[in-house]
Amino acid sequence: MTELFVFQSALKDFLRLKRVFVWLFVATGLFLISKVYLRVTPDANLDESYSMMSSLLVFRVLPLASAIFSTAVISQEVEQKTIVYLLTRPIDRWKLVSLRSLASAVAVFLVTSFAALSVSSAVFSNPFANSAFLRDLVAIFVGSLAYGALFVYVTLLISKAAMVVCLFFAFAWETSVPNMSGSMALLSVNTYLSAIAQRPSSGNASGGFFGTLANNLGTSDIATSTGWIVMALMIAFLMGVSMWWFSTFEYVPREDAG
Amino acid sequence: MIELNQVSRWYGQVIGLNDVTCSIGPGVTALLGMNGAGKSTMIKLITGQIRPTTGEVSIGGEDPFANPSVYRKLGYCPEIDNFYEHQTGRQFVYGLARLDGMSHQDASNRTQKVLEEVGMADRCDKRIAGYSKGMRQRVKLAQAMLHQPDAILLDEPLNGLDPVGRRELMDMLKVLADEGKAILVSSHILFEVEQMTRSILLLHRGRLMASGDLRVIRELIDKHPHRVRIETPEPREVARRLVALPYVLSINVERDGVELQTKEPRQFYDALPELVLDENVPIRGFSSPDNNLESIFQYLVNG
Repeated sequence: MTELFVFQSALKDFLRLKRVFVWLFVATGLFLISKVYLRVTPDANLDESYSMMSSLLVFRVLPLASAIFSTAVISQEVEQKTIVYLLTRPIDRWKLVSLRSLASAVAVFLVTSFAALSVSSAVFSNPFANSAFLRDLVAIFVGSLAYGALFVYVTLLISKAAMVVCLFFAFAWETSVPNMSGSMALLSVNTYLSAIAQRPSSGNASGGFFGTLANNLGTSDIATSTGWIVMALMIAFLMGVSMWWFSTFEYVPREDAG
Repeated sequence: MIELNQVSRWYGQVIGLNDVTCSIGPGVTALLGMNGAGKSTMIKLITGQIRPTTGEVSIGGEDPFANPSVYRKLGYCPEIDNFYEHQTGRQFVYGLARLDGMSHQDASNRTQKVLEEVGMADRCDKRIAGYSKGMRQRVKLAQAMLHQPDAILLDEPLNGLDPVGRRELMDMLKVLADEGKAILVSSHILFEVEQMTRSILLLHRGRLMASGDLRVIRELIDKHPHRVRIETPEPREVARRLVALPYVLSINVERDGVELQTKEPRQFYDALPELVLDENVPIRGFSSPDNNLESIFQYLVNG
């Protein structure tokens, strides 16, 4: 009962209208950008256009949303000092961090899925008839958990600068590393999500500016099953470490110590 | 119920609590100390938010750090003034009741009851962001009493409360103490504490300087003359009136006021309003350099 309440109340908080409004605005922006892209590339195949827009926009929104929501799991509570109310209640700390992380991942999945839907709507007359969209939803779900697990752990390690580090990872790392040659691309979450989404084969060196941003320059060729295994291991490992870490170490605003 | 055994806590190179041994049982116990004395550190150790660097803290024989079974019997009213500002007082208290393991119905009923007890039942459906300091304090108190804990820790609970609220809180604590609950109240204001309990723990610079009956401390203080500073535009005239009072030992006339010494501070404070009202003595304000814990610690340290 308590566990369900922790999850529900966290999800309700993450999906407050004030927070969701920003993501609705972002989704509208993605819709408009996709329309403009179609207008400037009238000869492009619709499936390829969707794939490009999805890689370029939706899978950028995913780590961004994850970075923002993940900081609300614990780090924001510490910064706002409301953590004391949570930590002095009869509920195990590992449950708190795992349930709130799950709520955060669900919130990220919902806002990113809406972004994907808006891109699909811009490209196709029936957005649900697009099989890539449905595969993207699966990848978005896995990505929400994977980025969430990673970012929650980062916020547990470094409360204050966590947002900066997570945003750096979301944009700088996840944009540049998948485009690197050799096995460097294996160090990016995006590489495995692309495999799960069964994107068209990578190695598109003629991708140009958009191709670079959409991570089309990398040479890695990951099997879908590998993507699933690596992501599952990563999520399980990082969540396990986060639960142990949060149960073991102190989370109290240091400036209050007196 | 609450035991600290040779507990020390360091924050890097700074010591927050230094080799403190004490036990807190049923009834109201006051934790006295100036800002930075280690009161909050001690409360955080007892509530299991932090661990001692050395020594042991136990509540009912259990280590409180991250221990849910301890939190079932512990209520905590923190000093911080931070809330989920978008929530109403009722939502805030209800949410914490659910975290205490109560069902929806039990949490709703208990929330209503504690909000009534702290005098917030009629105002609890407004957003916390619009609450006054006193209202916020009452909501914090309500959440500490939700699960009817055996021990309640209140960190500076009187901050921001108006006189009526203070009286109500003190009455409430008395009722809880009479029920056999262990209540620890931290404060840096001696006068407040005197009205609540005689049992004190006196912290100074992380050390437990004294514990026991407050009257013993008071007697120590009363051996020393008490200083009172009075602000007035007519210091000479005020000094002339005051020197006639039998319990005034000496008066020092300054440019914008006078500073006097008395061995009977209570009688002096009783007489002061009469002087102002009946004899029209022009007084802008008064304060006592001695009516603070620093002075008490000076007395205790210097003998």
